[in-house]
Amino acid sequence: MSILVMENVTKKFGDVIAVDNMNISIAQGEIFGLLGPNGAGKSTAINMIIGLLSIDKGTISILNKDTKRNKAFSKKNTGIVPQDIAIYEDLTTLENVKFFAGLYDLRGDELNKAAAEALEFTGLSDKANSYPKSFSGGMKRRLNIACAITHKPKLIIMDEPTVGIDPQSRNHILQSVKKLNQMGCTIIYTSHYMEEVEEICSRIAIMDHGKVIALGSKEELKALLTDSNIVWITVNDSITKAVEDKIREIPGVLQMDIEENTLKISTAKEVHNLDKIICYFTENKFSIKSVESRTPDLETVFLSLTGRSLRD
Amino acid sequence: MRIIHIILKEFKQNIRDFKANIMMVLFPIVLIVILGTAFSGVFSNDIVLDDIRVLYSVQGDPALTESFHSFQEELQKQLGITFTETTNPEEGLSSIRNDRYSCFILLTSAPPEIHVYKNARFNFEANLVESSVKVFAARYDAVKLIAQTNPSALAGIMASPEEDYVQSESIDKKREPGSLDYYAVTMLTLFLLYASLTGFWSVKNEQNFKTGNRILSSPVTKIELLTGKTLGGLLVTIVQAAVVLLFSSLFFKVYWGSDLLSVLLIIFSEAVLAISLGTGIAYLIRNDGTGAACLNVLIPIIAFLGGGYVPLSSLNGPLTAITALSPLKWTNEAIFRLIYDQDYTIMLPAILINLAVAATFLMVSAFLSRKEAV
Repeated sequence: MSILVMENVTKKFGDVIAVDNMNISIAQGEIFGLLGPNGAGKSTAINMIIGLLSIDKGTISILNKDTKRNKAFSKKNTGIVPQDIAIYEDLTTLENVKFFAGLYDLRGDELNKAAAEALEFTGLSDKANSYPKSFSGGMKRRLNIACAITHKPKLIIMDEPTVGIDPQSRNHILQSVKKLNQMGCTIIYTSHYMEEVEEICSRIAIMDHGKVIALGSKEELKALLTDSNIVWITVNDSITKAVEDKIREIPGVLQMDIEENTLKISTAKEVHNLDKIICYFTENKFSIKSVESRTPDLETVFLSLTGRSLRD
Repeated sequence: MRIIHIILKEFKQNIRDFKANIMMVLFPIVLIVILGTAFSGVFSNDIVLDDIRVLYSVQGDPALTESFHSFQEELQKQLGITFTETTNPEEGLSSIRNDRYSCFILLTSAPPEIHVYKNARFNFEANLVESSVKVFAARYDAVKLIAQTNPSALAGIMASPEEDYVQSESIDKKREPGSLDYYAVTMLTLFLLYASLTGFWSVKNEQNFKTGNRILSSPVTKIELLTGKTLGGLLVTIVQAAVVLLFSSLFFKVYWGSDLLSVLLIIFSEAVLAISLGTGIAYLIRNDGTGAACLNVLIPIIAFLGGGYVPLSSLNGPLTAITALSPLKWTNEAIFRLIYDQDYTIMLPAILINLAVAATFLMVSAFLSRKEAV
C-alpha cells in the first residue's frame, strides 16, 4: 500500500517552475531517498507534502487521502525533521518535545509517555530537563528528531538531518532512521551525503530542475550507467581548465569530475580510449600516480544525470 | 487545546526572559520612584500657612485703635498671625520692601482710613490679611453708623458674641493624584506599550528560527498560531502589569481607586493593543531592525501625546487635538477619571479605541500571515 502518492504535482513561483509534473509513489515501510542539487525542487516538494505550500496542479495523497481535503489527517500522520533545527533554546528538552507533540493533540498521560519514549529513542533522556543552549550540534539534531517522532507519525520526512554534525552523532541518527523504519515508519530522506543514501535508502529519486529525472533502487539507478566505464586517474600536478577541456575532447569521454589531482572520467563502454587519455598526460609531462577502473557508484549516476556533484 | 499549548509556550518563554522582565517590571517601578519624587512639588495641592507676620501702625482715633486691637487679637487667635506695632510708617514700608513682613497696615484718623501695603512675595498671606481687614472695616463703619442714628440699639449689638473675621467652612476636598499616584498610572500604561516588543519578537523569532514553519507543519493553522501567540503575550503582559500595580500599591501606597476591576479592564485593553501592534508591525515590516526601530520611535510619541512623561492637561489649541490621536491619552484619562472622580464616561471609549486599533493590527497580521511564504 502506498503511503504517499504525488500525481502530476506542479508548483510555480512567478515564472519559475519549482516542481514540474512530479510523480512519485512511496510504499509503506520504505526508506525513500530524495536527491538533487541545490534548487532542484526537493524542499518545495517536501513543503507541499507537509502542507506548508499550496499545490498549483496535481494531487498529493497520504494514506490514500488527498492532503488538500484532509489537511489535519495528513499532518497528523506526517512528521518533519527540518533541515534548520527548529527547537526552542529557552524551553527544556522535555518541554520542547511535549510542546510539539501537543500540537498533534496528544495530552495527559499519553503525551508524557510518548515524550519519554521519544527522548529514550534519541538518547536524550538524561538531558530531559536541560536547555538545548548547551547542546552540541548533534544533540540538537537528535532533539529535532525527537520533536518529529513523538506523535508517532506513519510518514517521517527527514530533510538533511545530519548536516554539520560529528561522525558519532551522524551514526546515531542513521541507526535511528533504520530503527524507526523497522518499527514500521516510512521515511523520506534527503541528504548531501551520497554514502548515507546508499547505506539506508531502499529507493531513490533524483530531482533536477523541478523534475524527477531518475527513480528506482540503488541497483536500478546504477544500471542506468551500464553503458559507461569509470576511470580514476591521479596525477602529480594540479589539473587546469585547459587540461580538463582537452580531456573532454577525447572521443568517448562522457562526464568528468575533478577532486584535487584526481580525475573521475566516465567513458562510453564501446569506445576504447584509455590509451588516448594516458597518452595526453604523458605527452604533457604529467606524472601519473595511479589509474583505476571502477563500476559506477550513485555519485557517478548523480553526476551523469545532473551534470553536477551532489555537494554543488 | 493546540492554542493552549502555544499560549503556555509563549508564557514560559517570556516569563523566563530576564531582560524583558527587567524592562517591563523593574523599569516602571524605578521610574515611578524617580519621577514621583522629582516632581512631587508639581503635584502638591496643600498651602501651608505658617509664620504670617504683619506690621501695623495706628495713628489717632482711640475708638478705631481699640477696635483694631480687638480685631488683631481675634485674628491672632484664629489664624496664628503675629502682629507687631510700629509708630513709624516709613519703617513699616521699608520692612515690607525687605520681605520681613507679609503686609503693613496703616490706620489714620484724618482722614479715617485703613491702608494695607502688601508684599508680593507673600501674596496669598497678604491677601488673606487684606480680606480680613476689609471685614473689620465694614463692621466698624456699620457700628459707627448705628451709634450715630440709633444709639439705643448699640448696646445689644455690642453685647453679641465676637464675630469671626474668617469663616471656616469645610467641604469634602476633591481627591487629586499625588506625584507617585500620577506616575504609577502613567509609567504602567507607558511600559504596557512596550509589550508591543513582546508581540513583535514573538513573531520574528518564530520566523528567524524556523519554528513557525515547524509549528505550521503540524495540524495548527496560521490563525491558531497567531491567536495563541497573541494570547500568550497578553498573559505575560498582564502578569507583569499586575506585579507593577501590586508593588506600587503595597510599597508606594499608590491609590488605584475604589473600582479596581474597571481600571484593570482598561489596562487589559491597552495590553491587547500593545501586543497586537507589535504583531502587526512584525508582519508589516520584514526587516527585524527596522521593525523594532519603528516601534521604539512610535512608542515614545504615543506616550508623550498620552501624557506619559508630563501631564498635558494644561495644553490647549492644536496640540490638544493631536493628543487625542494617542490611544494612551484616552487610557490615562479614563483611568484618572475613574480613580479620582468615579467618572466612567471615558472608560468605554478608551477601551473601544484600544480594541479597535488592536483589531486593525490583528486583521493585518492575519491577512499577511496567510500570504506569507515559507
